[in-house]
Amino acid sequence: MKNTAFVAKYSKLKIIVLVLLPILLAIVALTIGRYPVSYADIWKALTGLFFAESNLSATAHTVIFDVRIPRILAAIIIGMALSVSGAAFQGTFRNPLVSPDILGVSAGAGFGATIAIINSWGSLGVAISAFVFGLLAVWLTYFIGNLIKRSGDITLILVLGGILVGTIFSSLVSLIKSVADPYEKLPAITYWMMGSLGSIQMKDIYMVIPPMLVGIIPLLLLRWKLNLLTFGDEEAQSMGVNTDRLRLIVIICATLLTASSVSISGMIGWVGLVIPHFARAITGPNYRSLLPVSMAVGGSFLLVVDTIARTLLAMEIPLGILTSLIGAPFFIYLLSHSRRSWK
Amino acid sequence: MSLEIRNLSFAYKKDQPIIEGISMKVERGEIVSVLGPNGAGKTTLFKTILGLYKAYQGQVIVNGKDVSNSSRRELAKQMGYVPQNHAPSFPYSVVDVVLMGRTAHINNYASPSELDYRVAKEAMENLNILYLADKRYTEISGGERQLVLIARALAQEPKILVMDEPTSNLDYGNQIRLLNHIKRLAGQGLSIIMSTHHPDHALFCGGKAIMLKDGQILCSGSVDEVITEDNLKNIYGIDVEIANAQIKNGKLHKICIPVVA
Amino acid sequence: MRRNKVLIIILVILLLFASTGCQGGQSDQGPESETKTIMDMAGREVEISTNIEKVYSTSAIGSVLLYTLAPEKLAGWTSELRDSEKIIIAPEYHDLPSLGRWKGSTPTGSIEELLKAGPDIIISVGDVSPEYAGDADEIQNLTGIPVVMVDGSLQKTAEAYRFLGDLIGESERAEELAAYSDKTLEEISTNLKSIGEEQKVKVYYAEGMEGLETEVSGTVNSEAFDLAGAKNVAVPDTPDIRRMQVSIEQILVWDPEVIIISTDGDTTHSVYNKIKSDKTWANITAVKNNEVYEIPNYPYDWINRPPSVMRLLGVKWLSALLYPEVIKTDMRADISEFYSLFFNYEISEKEIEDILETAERK
Repeated sequence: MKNTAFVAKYSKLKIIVLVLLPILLAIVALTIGRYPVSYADIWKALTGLFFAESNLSATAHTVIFDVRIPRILAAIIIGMALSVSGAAFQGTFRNPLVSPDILGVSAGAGFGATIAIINSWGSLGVAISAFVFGLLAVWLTYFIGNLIKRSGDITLILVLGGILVGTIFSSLVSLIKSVADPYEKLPAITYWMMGSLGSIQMKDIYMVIPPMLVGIIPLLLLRWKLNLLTFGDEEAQSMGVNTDRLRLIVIICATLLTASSVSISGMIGWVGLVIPHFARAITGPNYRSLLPVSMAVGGSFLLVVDTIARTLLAMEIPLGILTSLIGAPFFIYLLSHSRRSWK
Repeated sequence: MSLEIRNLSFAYKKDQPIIEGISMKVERGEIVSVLGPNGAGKTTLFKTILGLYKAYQGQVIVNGKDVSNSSRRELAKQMGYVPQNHAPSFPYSVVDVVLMGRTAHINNYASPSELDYRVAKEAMENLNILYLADKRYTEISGGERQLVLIARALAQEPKILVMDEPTSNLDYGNQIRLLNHIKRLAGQGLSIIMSTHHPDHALFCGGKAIMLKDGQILCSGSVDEVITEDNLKNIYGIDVEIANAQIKNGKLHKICIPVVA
Repeated sequence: MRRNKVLIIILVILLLFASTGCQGGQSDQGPESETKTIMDMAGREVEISTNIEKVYSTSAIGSVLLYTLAPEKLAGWTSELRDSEKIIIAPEYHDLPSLGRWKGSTPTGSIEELLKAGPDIIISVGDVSPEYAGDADEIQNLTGIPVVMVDGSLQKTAEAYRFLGDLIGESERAEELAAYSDKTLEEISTNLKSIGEEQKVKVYYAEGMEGLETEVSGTVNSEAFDLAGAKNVAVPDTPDIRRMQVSIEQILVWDPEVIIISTDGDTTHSVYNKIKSDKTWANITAVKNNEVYEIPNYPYDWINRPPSVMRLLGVKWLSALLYPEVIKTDMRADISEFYSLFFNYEISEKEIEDILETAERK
């Protein structure tokens, strides 16, 4: 057979590299940080997991197990979730410029977090409130979309609905900010909006794992069908896809992923927009490989950026700002170098 | 295998039907050309037949069974759709695009199997486009893209092929090559409904023809009965003459010639 | 065509003149005829009325300063009073209008409401650097009301009281408060002289919902720490930073001996409880030695946000907490005296115990 396309497309090497990349980066990230922990200590800590009795200092133990490992895991998981969610939305909306918050999830989550901060509900309250309002915003968008659906293209209407709901929620946030106590609440809201993994603990990760699994598993299972949505509803339907149902599943799953991420990390922009493009440049647009590659690349990307954010200066560089600063020029580079890969 | 359409009507607003009372019958291996001026309702008719638009009255009957309540998957196994040339959003490889036609045969949570690859390959061989397999769908020519869309519909293994202006945007050579493909596919047993703006194309393909005007059937029957000077004048408002041209091998070919005023 | 353009340009210029002329006219037209030109604490020359009845402050820092000096001259608050403020502030001032903050680029108040309240001057208390002077000029141009800048640094509290007292004809009361300010700060700095740079206690100032935000040393927001002799562990490694987020790892590196928490008005002690119980904080010297305290916030934070005159009491509290062997004082008596002198409020023993609940070494 002459055509390589019919041979197994996914070389084993590529798969191994993509699986190993985040793992290797995680090991490297474990050795980097403001608090000096020697390689010997890390080796002791890791072997200590299997052989009892290690004479590791208590602080080093805390830094490795309670500070760095949760944070590294969170960066990988959130990077994966945002990238998968962005890739799924880009296909569903047939638009490569769509990001995971197209339906207003970030604005909703921001509003939820703001309310929680104003009412001093604590960090758990902020996470839950952000999550709930993130879902609520998307539900509103979907509701509006269905309300006016009969007058045209549903994806366009959903995008418009998302802009509408997003605007309403961000205006509400601005309104609250304008009357918020400038000394106590305002800085907290501002910092939340900038995104950070600085206060991640294992319990946060345990908390978001269930909704994230609920979001990611169906998307991975349905990833072949996501391809068909990119050809538009009518063509997809003519090829045997129930587009309404598939789109609803994608929206629910992608929203769960984004809302869970945002709820523990605040707003982290650009990852969900840029990473799918990068993944597409590596593996092509077929969701069969695009989703796994987006996960690997997204997880690795956010891990690298967060490691920079926590080590470069004594202060934490707000993660959302760093991802935007790195993401935007990177995006321009991708666009100018792979222009032909999408129109 | 047969497709029968009875009294099919579709409207966005109830009192303003886009198509109304369309009935027709297509047998196995038959080609039906649908002619009509812009806005006559050809695309709407096709989409209603395919179940993409919900008819407010009438039935689509495949093999004696009303399919209005069939699932997308069942419908897709019966009818394949070749849309008018579209703007693709993502640079899929051609083989991926053709494979998408297999979706109705693939389990909900699965990806294409070896068998699906084989069927896709056969569909491409059928149209002589195997050489395109690894190319990017966004970077091939309009004619090639049209063939890929047909291959995709073939990979779907339908009994009926619905083609919306398959020759539009193609150069003269590609138009004729495409019509030859269509005739050959009909010869392989596929029923084909296609729309065209060229009476000559309908004449070339033979079989049946339908003329649509303002959403209703003006006339239907064999191409020779339908493609007449009077009917063409009626739907397009121009004077034409149908001439019989004798070609070198002695056969007579009907052709349609516009009359210079 | 060309003539039309020239005409339009002339019209626009005329309109511009007319509008600025109007503004100038407005301030000239004030009912008071007598004015004088003064130099404010930023070195700006401002023309003000000789008889000042109403004063508005652009931020809460100034509102507190003004309330403690001459409450009856307050034209309004910057925001609705919170419950704790309503306890301390005398009831007759609860209903003053809330006119918004007028600091920075986005004022939150309405000009018309502000004009309706009719202050004779606006004071801007805080930083007096040229950058902020520009803001003050802008508000002055916008409202037509003279804006006077007052240095808000803690060390200049006495000076600020005297300056403002002269301005609004409350010199006597100002002197009383200024004397207290001078005495307090001088006593503390004298007593702290015996503490060498190496003996200074390393303090981490925890802000934000997670306690992972802080103020770097050397700003108005961390001035109280500096005056209380604390060694603020957060040293800026980039210029122009005030508040910053830090990682727990960085705090482990700093390993502060005392942690001082800003409650942000949260009465549930959530950050306090978290720092004392969370295992990531457990190995920090301050936590191991139980040296974790909340800053009293009644009705304002004693240390920062807003960095008000409450800090006089805050510095005393903090220095006594950090250096009990050199700063010997009866905190309960100090609190009583301060609230009585500054707020004319007789604080109860129960209130004092509540204030000090998490602010004292047990």
